[in-house]
Amino acid sequence: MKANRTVLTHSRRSALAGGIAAVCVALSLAWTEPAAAQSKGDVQISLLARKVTAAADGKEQLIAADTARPGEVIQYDAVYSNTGKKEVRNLAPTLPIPAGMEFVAESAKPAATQASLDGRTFEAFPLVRKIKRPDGRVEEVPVPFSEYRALRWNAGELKAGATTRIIARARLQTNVASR
Amino acid sequence: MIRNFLHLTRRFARATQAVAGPHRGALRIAFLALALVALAPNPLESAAPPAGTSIGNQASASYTDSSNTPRTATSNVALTIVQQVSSFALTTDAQTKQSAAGGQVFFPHTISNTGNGTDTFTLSVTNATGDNFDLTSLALYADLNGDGLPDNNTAITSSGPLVAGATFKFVAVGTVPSSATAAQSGNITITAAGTATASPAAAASNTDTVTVTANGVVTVTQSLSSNSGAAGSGPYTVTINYNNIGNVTVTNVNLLNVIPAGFSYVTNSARWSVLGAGTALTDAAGGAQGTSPDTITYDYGATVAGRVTAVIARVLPGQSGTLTFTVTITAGTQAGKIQNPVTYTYDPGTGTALGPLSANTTEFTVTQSTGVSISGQTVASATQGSTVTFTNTVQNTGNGTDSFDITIANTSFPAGTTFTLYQSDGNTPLVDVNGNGIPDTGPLTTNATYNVVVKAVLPTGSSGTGVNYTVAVTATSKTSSATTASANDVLTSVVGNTVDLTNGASGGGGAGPEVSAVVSQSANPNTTTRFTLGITNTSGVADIYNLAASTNSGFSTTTFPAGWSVVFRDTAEAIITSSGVLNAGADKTVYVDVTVPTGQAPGTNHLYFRVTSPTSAATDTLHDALIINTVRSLSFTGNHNGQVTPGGFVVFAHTIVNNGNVLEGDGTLSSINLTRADSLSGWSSVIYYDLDGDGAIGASDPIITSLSFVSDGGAGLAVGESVRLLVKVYSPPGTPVGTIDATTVTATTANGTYVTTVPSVVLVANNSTVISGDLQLTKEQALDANLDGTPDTAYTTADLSTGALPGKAIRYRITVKNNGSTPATSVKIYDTTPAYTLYTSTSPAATTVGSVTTVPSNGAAGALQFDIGTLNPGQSAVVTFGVIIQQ
Repeated sequence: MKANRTVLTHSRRSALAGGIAAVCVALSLAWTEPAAAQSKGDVQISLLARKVTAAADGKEQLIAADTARPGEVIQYDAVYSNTGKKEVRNLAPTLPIPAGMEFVAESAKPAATQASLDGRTFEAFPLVRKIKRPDGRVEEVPVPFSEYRALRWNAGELKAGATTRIIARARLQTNVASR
Repeated sequence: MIRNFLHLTRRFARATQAVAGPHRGALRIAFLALALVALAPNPLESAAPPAGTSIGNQASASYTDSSNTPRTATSNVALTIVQQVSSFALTTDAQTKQSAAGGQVFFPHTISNTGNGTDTFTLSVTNATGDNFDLTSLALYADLNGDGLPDNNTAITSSGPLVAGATFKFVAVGTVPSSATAAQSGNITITAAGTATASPAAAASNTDTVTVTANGVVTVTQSLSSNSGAAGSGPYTVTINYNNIGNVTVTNVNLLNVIPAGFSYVTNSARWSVLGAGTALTDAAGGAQGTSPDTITYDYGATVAGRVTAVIARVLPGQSGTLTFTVTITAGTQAGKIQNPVTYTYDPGTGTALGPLSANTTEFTVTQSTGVSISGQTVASATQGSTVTFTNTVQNTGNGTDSFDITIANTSFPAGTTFTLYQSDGNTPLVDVNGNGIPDTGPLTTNATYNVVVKAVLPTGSSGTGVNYTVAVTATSKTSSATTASANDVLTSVVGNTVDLTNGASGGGGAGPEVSAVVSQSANPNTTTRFTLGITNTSGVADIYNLAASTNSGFSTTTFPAGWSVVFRDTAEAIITSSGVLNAGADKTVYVDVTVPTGQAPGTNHLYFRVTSPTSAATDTLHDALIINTVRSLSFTGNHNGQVTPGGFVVFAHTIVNNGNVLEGDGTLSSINLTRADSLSGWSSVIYYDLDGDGAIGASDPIITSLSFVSDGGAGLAVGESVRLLVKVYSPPGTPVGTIDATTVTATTANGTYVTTVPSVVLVANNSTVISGDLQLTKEQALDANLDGTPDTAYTTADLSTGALPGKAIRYRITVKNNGSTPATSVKIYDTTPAYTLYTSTSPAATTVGSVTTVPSNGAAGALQFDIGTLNPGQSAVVTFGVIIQQ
């Protein structure tokens, strides 16, 4: 019994370490072996990136987003599945907004509860910041979506075998300036 | 890939810098400097990712599993490769120029690559349709120096590769046909198209118009002697070239050049080609220079402030000339580009001024120079083990936006000091914004300042006044690593931690150890005494203290004498060795239970209690004392009954013990006199000290009347010492059988130098019964540890001092001897198994004379009887039996 518990603790620890390493990799946008980032815990996550385009009939169409141009919108679908035998709690899905992309307003489904400018510190959505005007007034202004670097949801409990899904869209930034 | 991302990472990191500390709902940012950055338009604010960039995304989640263990999970990486989008801007559209028939016209254009990758643009120029004429010899030429004229005579059809953000200047040149007549116009179309991507087809065009006039036509171009230089550099010559390409004399050619910000006009530097290099044009408002009618009226700043105004009175057809003046680049000018536009007007011979018209605009690139200053801070004092905060103000003294890497080098802070860099808010760690792995200030515009906060966590063990701990903080320009500035952060003094150990309200405050005991308590030996201590952390920071006790103020030893115990307890009675964490100013009550052993000598025992912080070394010692009371007590044991024949004697053994804690009876301190008394007259008795310890009176055993003899190494009875006394009682001859004499031995203590109350008088009483006959009975014993029924040692009347453990056997031997002169008849020996022993049938009870009559059953307690029968004078009988000590 005791030995079993020890082994269990060990495996949890390594799973956790793997998770952290994977998050860091994602933030720096430098990944070498995506397969190594797969988690081994009870919650499996699959992320799908698709490009939002207009079909011939004018309706929205989602196509594979292996490639995209500046200005195009990518829809990220993340499906969270509890493959374990027990429910998990306090599930907090997190989706980075990669550098060079800009979160598309109102596109998070369900609405994100938190957002972050660095992928580490999360604050309530939408983010605001205080700035000091030249005349000394301090104002609270919304942070531009272009600075958002991650979104977080609060999915609560996920029963064994259940899945939940989050969606958010981001646009590849373009060169606004022209001479 | 990471490098490609550099500028994006920079943005990302700047956002990071703006992240707030713990404040909920509102993100705090570094005021002012960063606010300016946030408000100012920033070319990086929305830069497209470079073509070929891989944008990966990986969803994650944190959750707690069914065992409440926090866990994380991550998804696959979804990859998107950024594709190139062609984008460019072609300027300037809709330029118009006048020309005489047969004249040559120049239209300058610029193409800028605004896409996200390198692109090569095809360039072409064509005559438009629907106009009056076509230009001949129409072609495009490179104009890299931006003087509005072809660099060479090689026509081009392509810009060549332009990286994202780059620009390319070129000139369209054509000749108006000589057949054209006044007021006719011709249009040309300049078309550019990107080649990097096929779709969408990126193409744009500008249209230029040339109008033929019969009047004079002045074209003006200008150039700079150099197109780039540092702030403060120069002089650079501005050359404005004018040329009348018309067929009519023009008059009042006004050349106007508003000196742009960043250029400083050099006084008296203006020259006119007509007057030659030796004649300076007057800067002040004044009259015409030169020989009429070819004169120039020149001023700088007089007609219009900050503007060069030159009016050339007359230019003949085909005549050209130049106006030159020099400028320097104003010191402190921001890095970047300075545009210098020149406009002009003239009277083409119609009597009406034409214009203003634009010459080409030259561009001067002010190269970036770097500079930085940093100020340190001196903190007068900090408490031991605390965190010291230094604010260092970094200022960008360069002429362009720059970021500054911050590094620190410890000069003299003690080992164990940890330094951490924070942003201006003092809470958010300073991060690497510029992507080189070193924390930096983030982008600072010229003269902007940024406060870098250095926090030094002092090691807990160091303190001192005037230590002047120093750490050097260095700011290094990201643009030029040779540009650095350093400042020292200095901590002058570290105030050591302090602690006060007291007896609470009973005193002991302040640094110890006190000269005399603060609290003295009295106790008897073999008791426990409690001292109550108060520990107060008198420092400004939390600390923890180990507890110690010693009999020595210097704590040269913390070992107490044998039998002592000193135990620290908290108020919940738990045994402790440490105070636990005490916050600044907090106090705690601690008990010390001091137990002293039996026989502890009377007197004052100085006790020193000490608290010492293992981290800060703060310490205090408290001086208390435990006074052991004098206890004087004797015990005298062994009331015996014996038998004695008339005229014979009997010996009784007694033990006297000193139960007090002082030496007794040595004859100096006190004396213990032994007196004996017999209840019947004629009886006598003598007291021996059993010096040889054999339980019988021997030749060496002295006769005594007091306890002042030397025993156990000293005179008298030492503390805890016991001695055996042997009392030999003689009966008078002829005493009737059955007479009983009581012999009393009394030990009476008298003080010598002692002054305390003497111990109580103790006594023993022996009864001697007179019997007839001369039978002498001797009982001896021997150990039989292996239970085989055979004595392991010789029989002895002495005590079995070792080995008589439960489960072992003891053999008894009783010898009865007739010492008389007549036979003794019907001799019987009775005995019983002693308490806590049981009879053993191994080697059963036996007698050498007569028979064994009664024995207990094996393993039972009970009486034994031996019928010896008749013993003749001198005859002996020996009986033996064994018992086992109960487990």
